[in-house]
Amino acid sequence: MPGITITGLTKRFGDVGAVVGLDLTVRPGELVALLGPSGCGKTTTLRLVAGFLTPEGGEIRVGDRVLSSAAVVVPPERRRMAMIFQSYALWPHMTVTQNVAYGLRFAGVARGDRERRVEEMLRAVQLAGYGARYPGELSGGQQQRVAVARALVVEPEILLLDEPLSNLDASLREEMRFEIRRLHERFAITTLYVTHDQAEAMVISDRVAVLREGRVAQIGAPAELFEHPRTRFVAEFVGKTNLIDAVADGAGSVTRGTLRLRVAAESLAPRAPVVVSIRPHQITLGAPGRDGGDANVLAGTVVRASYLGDAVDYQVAIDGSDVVLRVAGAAPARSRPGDAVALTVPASACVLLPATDDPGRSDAGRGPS
Amino acid sequence: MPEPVAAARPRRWEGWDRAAPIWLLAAAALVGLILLPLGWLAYMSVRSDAGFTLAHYGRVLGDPPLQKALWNTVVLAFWSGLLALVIGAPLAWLTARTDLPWRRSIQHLVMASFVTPPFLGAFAWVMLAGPNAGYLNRLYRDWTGAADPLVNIFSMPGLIFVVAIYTFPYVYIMIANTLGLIASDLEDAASILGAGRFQVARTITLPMVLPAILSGFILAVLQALALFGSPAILALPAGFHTVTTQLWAFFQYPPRVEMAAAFSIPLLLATALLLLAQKRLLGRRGYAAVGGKGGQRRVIRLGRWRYLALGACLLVLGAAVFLPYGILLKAAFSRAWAQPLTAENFTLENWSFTFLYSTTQSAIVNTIELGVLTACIGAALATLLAYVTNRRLVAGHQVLGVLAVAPVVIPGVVLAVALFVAYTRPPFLLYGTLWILFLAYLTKEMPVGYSQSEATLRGIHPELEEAGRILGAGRFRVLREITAPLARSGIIATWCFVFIGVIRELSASIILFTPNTKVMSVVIFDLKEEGQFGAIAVLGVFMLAMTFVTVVVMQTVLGRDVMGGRQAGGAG
Repeated sequence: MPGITITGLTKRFGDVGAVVGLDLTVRPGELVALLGPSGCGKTTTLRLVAGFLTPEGGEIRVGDRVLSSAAVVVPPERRRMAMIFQSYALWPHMTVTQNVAYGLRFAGVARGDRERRVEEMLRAVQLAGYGARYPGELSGGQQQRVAVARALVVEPEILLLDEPLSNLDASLREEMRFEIRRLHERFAITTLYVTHDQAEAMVISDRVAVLREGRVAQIGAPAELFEHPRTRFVAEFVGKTNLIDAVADGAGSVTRGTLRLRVAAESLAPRAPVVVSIRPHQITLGAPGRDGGDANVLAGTVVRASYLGDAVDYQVAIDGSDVVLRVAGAAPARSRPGDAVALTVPASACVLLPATDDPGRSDAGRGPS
Repeated sequence: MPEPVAAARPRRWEGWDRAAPIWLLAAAALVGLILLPLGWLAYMSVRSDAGFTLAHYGRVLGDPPLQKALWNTVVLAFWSGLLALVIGAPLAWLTARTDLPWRRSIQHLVMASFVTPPFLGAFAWVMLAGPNAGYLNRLYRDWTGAADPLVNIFSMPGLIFVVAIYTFPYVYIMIANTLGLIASDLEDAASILGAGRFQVARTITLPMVLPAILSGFILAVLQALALFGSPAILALPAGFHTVTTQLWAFFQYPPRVEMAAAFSIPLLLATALLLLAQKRLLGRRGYAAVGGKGGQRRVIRLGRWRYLALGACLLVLGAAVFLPYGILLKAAFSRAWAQPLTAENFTLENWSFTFLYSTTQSAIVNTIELGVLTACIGAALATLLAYVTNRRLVAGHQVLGVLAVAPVVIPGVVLAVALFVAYTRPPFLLYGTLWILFLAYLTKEMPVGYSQSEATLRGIHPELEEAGRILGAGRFRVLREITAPLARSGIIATWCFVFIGVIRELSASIILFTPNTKVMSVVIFDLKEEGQFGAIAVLGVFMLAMTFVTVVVMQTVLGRDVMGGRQAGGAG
């Protein structure tokens, strides 16, 4: 099972740089999600890997074969890949069995074997017995599973998925996330998965690559990205967060006006501008006058408490500062707007990020490999 | 990350698109088809034994009778376009937005008018409104005892009328389609504020539809400019020429090719400019964009105006369909077409005479052969070209798209002159064979074929093909196994469109035919010289029958009305 190595990939459409010097490595058998807002280049990257687009620069390698470069692009039919499209792209004039069996004809599989493998795969995606139906007779979720079966049955070296769940309703989407993860663990194919849904990326992937403006902003395991974002953009895109612009004081703390926070970072140059990211669920809301130990304790007033059923979303204004922090608390709400409260923030929850978010900075793309 | 010592690189040829030669061949065929004759035309218009000259232009534009022909053409095009607008726009509104009774039937009748060859309509109207024997005039004289006829169809107003009743469907289609895009909520917003239904029509609907109206007017004018049959039948006996009849006259023995070439260019320029104006009006999308989000459309109740509106529609359709078809049928079965259809007047001799006459037989065979050949090759070429431009397979595909619809700018007579010039010399000595007619038809019908193919392919998502390719199927296999089956009904529709266009074509055929290569439309024209109205009627009815059978096939295959309506239970 080969891996994918992408180096310096560049693709322009007119004067717009969709992909700008992108570097990415997918290890054999790994599932990497390409996550980002629309226009970040994730679908373009996927289509370059599939061979539908020709890059202007850079290289795409699978194993030790160079498949795409500015000079030559191996056509899609010879790349030994499979793809699941956002629209599923099931052929309406063929039955489910014919759809799923299509790729097996070019893999040199004998007819008897073909039928057997198609049946096995339909069973694996829980569509046994649906072989004679046409795609038009199936529900959205069933069509999606046919698309999955069609891709997996050819035993590709590389599997590509282009936002396959975005056409499903919310509950089905959640169910299918687990299904796709289960199938990945069973078949262990090197996979590239494009999505704009951060929760989906976290559930499904081994590693997530956050893309911004044609480059990788950060790549790492979901926990790594969530707990140790390296840029403001990543911190905001992956999960909710509070961002505070502050200044380092050179002694393991940062200050903003009268607010002082102990942070978990090596000593910084004094007066260096920084951004502090604090996840709402890492802040504890309590009665005033608590002792937090080593943690930061901030006195504040509740501005808003929104009841969400299984949680409460607080907005707390910090006394003596212009900072307003979002806090995730447990239901039922224990504080009401106007109440004085104390927020406990461990130093380890205060993550430092560079003050300026330059996507062109070369080390922003180097996550832990 | 250390680089592997030896990476396997693909050979250069692996990246070549194996289908490229096919696309390039199709593109080259298109370029040759259109640019070659036009190039010759331009060349002939400035050529003389002494080299480059503008003398032909000088003679053509400075000659008073020719100037008169130009002026007549302008008058004809403008007024018939206006009349087509006056007929077509309200009709479109009535059928598309109101509760007019018998809407579906009226739509079908407009379609019948659309596929009726205008020259057949002109013949029918000669039989109806000729000053001496015209049926309507006789009725008028019998009833009122007057000596003079009610109308004389052999006049400019007569010509304008006959042209308008067969070009109004273009206006109708354009406006009906646009009205179909406007959701009722925009009009409801006005009604709630107190506007009556005609006020709504005038102040809300009308401005939104204005680009479509102007565009429809331009289309009707373009059609009128290019017509040959109706002016030849109605204007020549009245003693005046249009540009198209004059061009034909240049080709009567001895042919004055340079003059014809020079005289063609102004017409070509005029149509090109008009088309440019029309494109501007419609914007890049090619249809009149309207505001609102689109959605449900409720019908407007006409109330007490219902039957008045219906009467007006039936009047129009009477002039375009009922009366002409009626008189053609009558003449087909009458010994003397001008006499009432009594038992003694009834005969089947016209039919036997026509179909046993060898010239007619070979003409019918020629027409059907050419129709089938042009439709098959035209549909294939149009589909291939639409595929190349739609999937952007070659650099410069936008130019291909423009070229494919460019022939609409070239009036049939001009195209015939250009083809005559291009193919009456070595190495392509095609004049005198059916092949030159084939080329004329193929070129002329390419825009219609291409537009239909383009619409078909736009309905097939590229991902359906990409899914095949990533699973291992090459380009051609995908085309054969995935695209073609899905495009099948669209391709059949393209075939039908081209076929219908070919069997009724007159303006190019009348210049390029030779005694051995006549087609039905030319024979009908010949019979006019001999006054054989019975035979004309028979051939006309036969031509209409072929056309309607094809239309029925097309609508069945497509599952919907070509006019944009939906058949009950159709796939839509």
